Parts: sequence; C-alpha cells; structure tokens
Amino acid sequence: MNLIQKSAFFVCTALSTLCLVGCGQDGPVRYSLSGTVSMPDGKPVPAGEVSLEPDGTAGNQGPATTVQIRDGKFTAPSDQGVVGGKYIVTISPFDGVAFGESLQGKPLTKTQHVEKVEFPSKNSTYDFKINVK
Amino acid sequence: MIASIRRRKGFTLVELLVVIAIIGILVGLLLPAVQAAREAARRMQCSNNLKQLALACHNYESAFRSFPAGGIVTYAPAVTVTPANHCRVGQDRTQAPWTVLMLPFIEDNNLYARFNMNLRFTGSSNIPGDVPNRDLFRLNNSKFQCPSDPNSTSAVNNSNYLGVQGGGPPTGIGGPACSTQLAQRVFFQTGIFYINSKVRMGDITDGTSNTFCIGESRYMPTPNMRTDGFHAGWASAVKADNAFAVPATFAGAVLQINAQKACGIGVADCFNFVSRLFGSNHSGGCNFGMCDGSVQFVSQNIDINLYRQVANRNDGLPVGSFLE
Repeated sequence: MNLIQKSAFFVCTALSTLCLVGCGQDGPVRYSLSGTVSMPDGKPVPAGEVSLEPDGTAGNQGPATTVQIRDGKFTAPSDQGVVGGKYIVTISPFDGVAFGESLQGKPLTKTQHVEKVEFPSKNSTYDFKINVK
Repeated sequence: MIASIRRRKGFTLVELLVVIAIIGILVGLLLPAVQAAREAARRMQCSNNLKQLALACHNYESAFRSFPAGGIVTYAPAVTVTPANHCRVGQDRTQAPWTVLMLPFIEDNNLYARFNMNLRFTGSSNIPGDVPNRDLFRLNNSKFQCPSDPNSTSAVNNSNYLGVQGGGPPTGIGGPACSTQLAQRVFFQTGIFYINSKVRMGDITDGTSNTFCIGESRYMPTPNMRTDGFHAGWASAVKADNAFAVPATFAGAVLQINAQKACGIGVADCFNFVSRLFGSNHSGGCNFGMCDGSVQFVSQNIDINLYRQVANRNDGLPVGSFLE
C-alpha cells in the first residue's frame, strides 16, 4: 500500500469508530404511539395533555409518558413512547385559547378522562374519545 | 542531475492534507471528552448545592423540631379549611416559602433579615406582594441554581431546587389532595414540603434514606418563557387563592422525570408543569436530595409507580433498591 491508501484506510477506520461511540441507549425498549383525541360530540380537542402510565395494579412496570395534544392529534416518538402492556391513560382537554394565567386556556371538562388501555409491544396508533363532562 | 531534482524540498499537498485530517480526527475525538468533563463538573456542583440544602433542612429540624413549612398560608378566620380546598381558599395572605425560612441555615442570615415575615410574599410576578418582600423576590440566589441550566443566570431569579410535596397519579386514589386547572397544578400533602407543613423526622416512617426531600427541576417559569413575562422565583410564596393556584417552590412526583422536553413560548406553559415533575439538563435523569442528607441521581427510566412511592413519606410500601 502506498501512503495515500494507508492514510485513507486510517481515516475511514477512525471515522467509523467515532460514529459507533456513544450510540448506545439505556432503559427499556419503547414503542411510538400516536393518534387522535376527540370530544363526546366528535370534535377534535384543541389542546391539552395525554398522560400514559403503566398500570402498577395490573403488574405492568415502566416509565410514564406525557404528550401534548395539538388540534386533536398527539404523537409520542419511540424514545419517549410506551413499553406495551396494560396502561392507565389520563387526558386533560383544554380549549387552547390563552385565558388568565393559563396559556392552555380553559378546561373543557370538570374532571380528567381516565381510561385503561392495553398497548401492543410495537409501534401503534390509538384514538381516544372523551367520555366525561 | 536527476537525483538533485528528486531531492525533497518540502511536503507535498497530499501529505499536508493527510496530516491535517489526522489532527482533525484527534481533536474530534478529544472535544466530546472535554465537553463531557465540563458537564460532569457542573453536575457535581449541582449535587453539592442540593447537599447543602438537604443538610440545611437537618439543621432547621435540629433547631425547630420539624422540617420547614413548604409555604406559609394564613387563612381568613371565617374559612373552613379542608384537605380538598386548602389550595384555593388562602385569600388572606401567603407568606414565606421554605426557601426563605431556610436562609439562616445556608449562611444567608443578612438576606433573611431583610424579609418581613409578617407581610405578603410574591407568588408570581403578576401578583406582587408587599415591600420589601416583592423587591427581594426579584433578586437572584445562586445557591438555588444549577450551573447546567441555561435559564439560571445571575440576572434571573430562577430556582432549580424544589421541595418534594409527595406524589401519586394525577387523579383518583393517591391523587393530589387539592388541585387546579384539571390537575395540572397539584397540591399533595404526603411528602415533606406542602402548605403549612411541619413534618418531623418521626413522621417519615418510610425511612429518611428512602424518601425524597428536595428535587432538581428545570420547569420554574422564567421571564422569557411566556409572552406576558409572568414568572416565579426562588422566593415565591405559594399561590393558594384562586383557580390558578400553584406552588412554585415545591413539586410532586406525578409525571416521569424529564417528561416535558422544554417549556417556552409556543411550546408549553410551565405554570402548568412546575408542580408536577422534576427534571434537569444533565443527561438521563436528575438529582434528588434524600431526607437523610444524601444526594442520589435518579434515572428518567425509573418505574413510575416506584418513583411516586419514594416521594411519599409514609405510604408503607417497600421501595427496595430504587436506583437499579
């Protein structure tokens, strides 16, 4: 090998090593979840929050996930998604028009919507319908 | 003749390029290590700040036989206060938070002497309390600031260390005793710091090494997080008077650590987050000061139910080795 080939080989090896370093990720495997949230009358929820937590009473374990609702849609990317299994989902719908000290606006219901859902161990979608007033 | 032409008088272009490339790679290898070392130093300083505050809690406990109140609220005599309404009926006056009550124990006696404990304290900037407390509210106190948080500069009264008021699901059994804004702003009474709390060592029946005392947060609203500039600070009183009531200097374990990536204009309203979660700019989790005075780094991948148990002082549930 001449000098150029040698150096090219060295550069390539060093670069690929650099790319591999620091790619590991700890914690449980999580899957993305997306979907829609609608009011009892079928209208999309303008703003608010979907909170998904593993149901400890049903033996499921893992980190919880919290995502914002924008115009009736929510998305939890896989790095902050669900681990699968039985979950308790809590949804707080807001009207999205800044009011007083809250930029999320006024609550659309008096209590939070709570639902028990079993998510598959893969990337999935789920549509929620609020059933409280 | 030919030999003299072939004699090398300098480096060729290719050789120079190769040398530069190699130097570039070596620097590229070194830079992340340097940055990581700087972050490690900041994290250590942060955990030291937390340690000082946890020890100050112990010294306060030695002097007064209880941990400081999360925030003092004086209710009007006519009001009947119950756990379900205690966060909304404090119209009369809201006074010193634990951060101010502790000042003599973190060698800030002079600052403590400038506050007037009998007057109203500022909850958030839009509802100023009485002079001199509202002027002192605007001061910065670096003992409450983590060097890794870009919002914690000497010009901002931000705080990165919030007391732990307990934890649990946002609603239902084990949920907050009182809450506003659809449980986006929560008031637990199962931790160490809450309204008018007087938690003694003996009340921490889960064990002081198994219970969070002070947690790290990056969710306190700062002036640049909202278009109207409303913000809280390290010396914020509890807001306990209306539909927007929120504790600013203590928080509960409801959401996962670091569950919200950022707060700011057009992203999220931190007044609706600050009382529900902890988090930090360190990668992978945040620091917690335990009730025994130690500081632990807790992973953001911790099981949510276990995490909430460690935030409660007397739930009687085993936590085992919660640090994986």
